Amino acid sequence: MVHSYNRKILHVDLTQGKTWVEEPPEAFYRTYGGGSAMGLHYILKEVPPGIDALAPENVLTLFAGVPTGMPISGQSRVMANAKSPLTGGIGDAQAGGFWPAELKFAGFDGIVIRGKSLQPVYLWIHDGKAELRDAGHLWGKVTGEVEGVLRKELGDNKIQVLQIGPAGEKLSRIACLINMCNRANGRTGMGAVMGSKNLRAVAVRGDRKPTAANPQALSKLTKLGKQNFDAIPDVNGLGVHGTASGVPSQNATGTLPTRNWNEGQFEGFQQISGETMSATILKERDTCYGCLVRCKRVVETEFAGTPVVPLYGGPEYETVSTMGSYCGVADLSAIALANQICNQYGLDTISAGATVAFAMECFENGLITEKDTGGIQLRFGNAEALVRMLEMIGKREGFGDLLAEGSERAAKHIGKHASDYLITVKGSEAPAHMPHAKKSLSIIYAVNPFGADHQSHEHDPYYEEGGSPLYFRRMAMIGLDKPQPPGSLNEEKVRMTYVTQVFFSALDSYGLCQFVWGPSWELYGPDDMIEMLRAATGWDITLDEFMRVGERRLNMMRAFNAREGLDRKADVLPIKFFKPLQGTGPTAGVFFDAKENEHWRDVYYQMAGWDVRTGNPDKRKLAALGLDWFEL
Amino acid sequence: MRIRVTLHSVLREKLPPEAKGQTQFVLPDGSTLSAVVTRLGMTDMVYAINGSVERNWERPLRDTDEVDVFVRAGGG
Repeated sequence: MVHSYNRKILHVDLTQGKTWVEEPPEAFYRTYGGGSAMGLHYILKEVPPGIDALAPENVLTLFAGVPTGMPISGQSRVMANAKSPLTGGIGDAQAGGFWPAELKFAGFDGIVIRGKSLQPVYLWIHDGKAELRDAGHLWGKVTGEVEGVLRKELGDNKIQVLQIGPAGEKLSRIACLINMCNRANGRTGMGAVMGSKNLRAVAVRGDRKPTAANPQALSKLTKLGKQNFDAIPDVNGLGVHGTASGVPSQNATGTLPTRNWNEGQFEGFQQISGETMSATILKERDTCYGCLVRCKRVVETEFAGTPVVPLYGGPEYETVSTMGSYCGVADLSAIALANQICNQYGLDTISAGATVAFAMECFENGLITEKDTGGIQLRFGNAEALVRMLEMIGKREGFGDLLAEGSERAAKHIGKHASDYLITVKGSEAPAHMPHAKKSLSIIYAVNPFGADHQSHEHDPYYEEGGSPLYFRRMAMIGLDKPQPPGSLNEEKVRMTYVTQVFFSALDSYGLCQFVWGPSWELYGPDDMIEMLRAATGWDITLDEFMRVGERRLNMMRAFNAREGLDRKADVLPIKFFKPLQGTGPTAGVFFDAKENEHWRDVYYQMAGWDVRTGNPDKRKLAALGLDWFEL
Repeated sequence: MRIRVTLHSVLREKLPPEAKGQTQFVLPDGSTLSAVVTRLGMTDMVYAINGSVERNWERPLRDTDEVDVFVRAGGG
């Protein structure tokens, strides 16, 4: 008997209009842990080399993790993968909410989506069955309307809906997937891939809750979680004031990207902090299935006469920063409306905010004018211009049509020296954490297979002298027992970057939230996590096996990229990082040296066991991970 | 000398609610940041002086300096 998962994967061929069910053996689950690695198995096997990411031959996978749906915090996650229309390499994005657990309750662990439907359709999955239904009446509607229509026509208010918005329908390369109208698989354009297949939504409902192998052990861990939540200030702050609780410390550290990364401190930081949100526009805290942290925000306000309603949730740290300091906007209500527009139209808030900030810098420097923007004064700090432009991106109207392609393609179109203002790696816009003080980010932003990402390793300040003894004890469990001087970048920091990247890669395979399960400040440490996985599955899983799964996923992504022609030459930081940061604070004047960054990348590739000349795994490395079936 | 201390996020709960996370310390001239750290008893946190993070706890304080205390900020 299997525990915690269904041993059922749903396959969909939209060209043929067919669905079928696969029942892989337990060994398959043990190899990948579910989640992103399991989805990548199908992508690496089936996606032909060199295809257009928006062609029917692309394969989109939506996978929950093996423990998703268990009665414990931080397990309800869905991982989306496909070839990315934004980067040309592997795409990857994760989301929480109630949809992932409901997918399990509906009888499936993951979905593999191929082909392209002639007409718009949606997928209705319930009680172990799946059917494709006409979605002509949903096309063009914003997410909130679609969720309402589907719940009404399927006659159940508890149906969970994962969908694209109008931006995904119109193939914006920064379009995302949205569930609950406020949880996003944000990065790398997965919404455009789903839109290219004419698939508007995946609705799920079921009551087949998987069993745990050892429910008592899970219950004991839940009690420990409650104690930890009160005892660990970092995770407590995240719950009480949301992810934007980090705004003041980011600002003090000089790592709050301001006016398109020209500065690291923002004079308006207090107006946009999580504490200010709690004291002003916060209506309530929200959660994902089974989680006690409750870090999600629900806000209610209005900006320029437009109401911001609770249905669309509230802005996360990333949204507060990309729409706020990144664009020079210090108005929390405007940021909340920006968040709502992105959730209505299905836009990644990071790429959308960063792309508007890029355009603002182009405007400030005369590379584009009001003639281009349709009369909009696209200047830093102009909150009205921000929300107007986001709506134009969502609808692909006027100048928004160009920005819907993402900043890198927009820069090519604008020409002149617009590319000097890009904050992208592999074409994907960087999130709102700056390597200028968190030096490990200068490695991970460069080498991460799907572009600059802040959730692909543990930030190095947690591995610096003077930190918490609890965090150091946890780090030591994965062999990181030599905390380094603050602000340094050295071989041990690179080792920490690689090891925690492997750890986070495994989290995205087993489908575990990175605020709840992690190697330092999170609700639970690595030892608790292994205990949880054992209690859920009944497997004799070890930390070594967990890390092996993470390494396998990382190599699968890098191998996919290698086949698509991406190598170390694509692992390049934005030009701006090599120029002194302006403004105030501890990072003013800080810049990176290209040669030095190249040196640390060499060290990283060696640690990963990759060919330093290419920065990619070779056949021998893939074989060692059981991936010899993949043709490089 | 008088130093204004602001505790951020959930740390402010260590002070009475009406304080809104703010308090004032009177310290002998020549005191360093470590005097604030010791008095708060919070050695794992991030400290900033006048808006910029300060890792050197032996840095001397001056009258009217403002000290901010944060939890560390990771991803998210």
